[in-house]
Amino acid sequence: MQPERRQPRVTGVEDQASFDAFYRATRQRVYVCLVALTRDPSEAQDAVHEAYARAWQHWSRLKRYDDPEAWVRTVARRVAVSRWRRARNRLLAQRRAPAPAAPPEPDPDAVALLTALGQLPPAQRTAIVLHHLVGLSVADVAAETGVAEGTVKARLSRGRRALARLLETTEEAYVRAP
Amino acid sequence: MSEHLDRWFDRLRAQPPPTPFVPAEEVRRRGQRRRYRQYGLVAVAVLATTGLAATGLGKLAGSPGTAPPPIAGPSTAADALTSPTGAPPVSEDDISTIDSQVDGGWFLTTADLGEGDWRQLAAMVLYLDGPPDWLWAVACPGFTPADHPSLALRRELALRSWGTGAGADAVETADAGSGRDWLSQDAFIRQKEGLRLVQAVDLFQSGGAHQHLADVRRVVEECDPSDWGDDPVSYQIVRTGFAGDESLLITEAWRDSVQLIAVVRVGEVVTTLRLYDSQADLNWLLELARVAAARLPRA
Repeated sequence: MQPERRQPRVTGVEDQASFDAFYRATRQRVYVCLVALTRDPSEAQDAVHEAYARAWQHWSRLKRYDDPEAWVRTVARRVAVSRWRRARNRLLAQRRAPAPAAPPEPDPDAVALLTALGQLPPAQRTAIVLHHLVGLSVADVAAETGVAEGTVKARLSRGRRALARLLETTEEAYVRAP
Repeated sequence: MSEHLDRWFDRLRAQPPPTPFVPAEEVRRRGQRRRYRQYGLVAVAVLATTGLAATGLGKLAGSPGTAPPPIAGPSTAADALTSPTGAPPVSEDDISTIDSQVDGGWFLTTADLGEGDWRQLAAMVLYLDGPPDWLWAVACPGFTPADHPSLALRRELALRSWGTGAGADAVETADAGSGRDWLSQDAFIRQKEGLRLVQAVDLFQSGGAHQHLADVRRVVEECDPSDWGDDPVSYQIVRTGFAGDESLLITEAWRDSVQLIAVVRVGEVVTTLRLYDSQADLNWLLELARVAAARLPRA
């Protein structure tokens, strides 16, 4: 037996070009989505790289999808979810702890938003991020998270209220700061 | 409020990653390495079992005088092709479903497994590196979780695994120190000694369990072996109706090796039994499936 024969199909040069263009055009959007969900820039970036690597594995088929970016985003979220599960105890503790360290020289507003997002329940955070950051419609959020549109609307409504409260507190702190 | 939020999110959209994105070429190389590593794992599993795999489907019928069928490693460790548009969700809610509320009494017990030094492994074995963790989601390259409607109806998933002899210790040792509370299927596959059994119990919303069996049938009947190139894997339903409300005994054949998988539905619960690298006989697995079915709730 020659197990080496069990090789994947060869992907052509044209596929490489289309994949590279796709990667360059979409990676920032996917990264921002992941960092909003994980609040960990390094973890988010690694999940994004992993998701694109998986996308390349299946690019000959993915390139025919209407929205391969949705595939990558879902895989990246799955990778992140998996890591969340592995570190569940740590994350449970983090719910009551301050947000993790921000990336070097971060935009204070971005940090404030990430911090606020981190205080939302995961389901609300996901809905808010997919709708307001990624720009998906309510129906698309429902499809991507596997819940009814009404559930998405409820999560968005509650999440927006909570975010408004949290961000107002942040703004007030800025105003009060010398 | 939305406009207010948009302003905040605009700032976030402009945030660069902590380090520059790696070049596309590096991503492709990473994907290529990953692909070859996975196929290499399959090769390891097959090499580990090929020596045992001397009988074919005919012997699976359990005819008198035949040796128990050899069981090969899983045909694929290929990556789950996760959801394109319309795929089953991968939400944070899935985290809790892995820590299932499924009653422990629904599972087989170590005593059910009969002779041998079986022991339950401390951690569960995941087929995938994250939800939706489902054997059939990786069983065929031509299928993705999006192709399985029942996954969207799954309420809970729970897994238990057992091993015998030094192999069981080795499996756990292989993943020791990883900081996680589950075992990788890779470690399960790599281990050559002893027997290993995984039982999955899936709890569904109304109608989901029946759909689940239909999804399994579709993989078995429609999986195109040519998706594996010139080295095909094929599935076949060799027995039905042996336990519960619905049941399937499936063979997974690759070259001259055959693996057994039993899928049993009782009400809205489905249990799946998968053996690794064993020489267990067909009748033993069928009996286990009946015992497993008897443990599942009717509701």
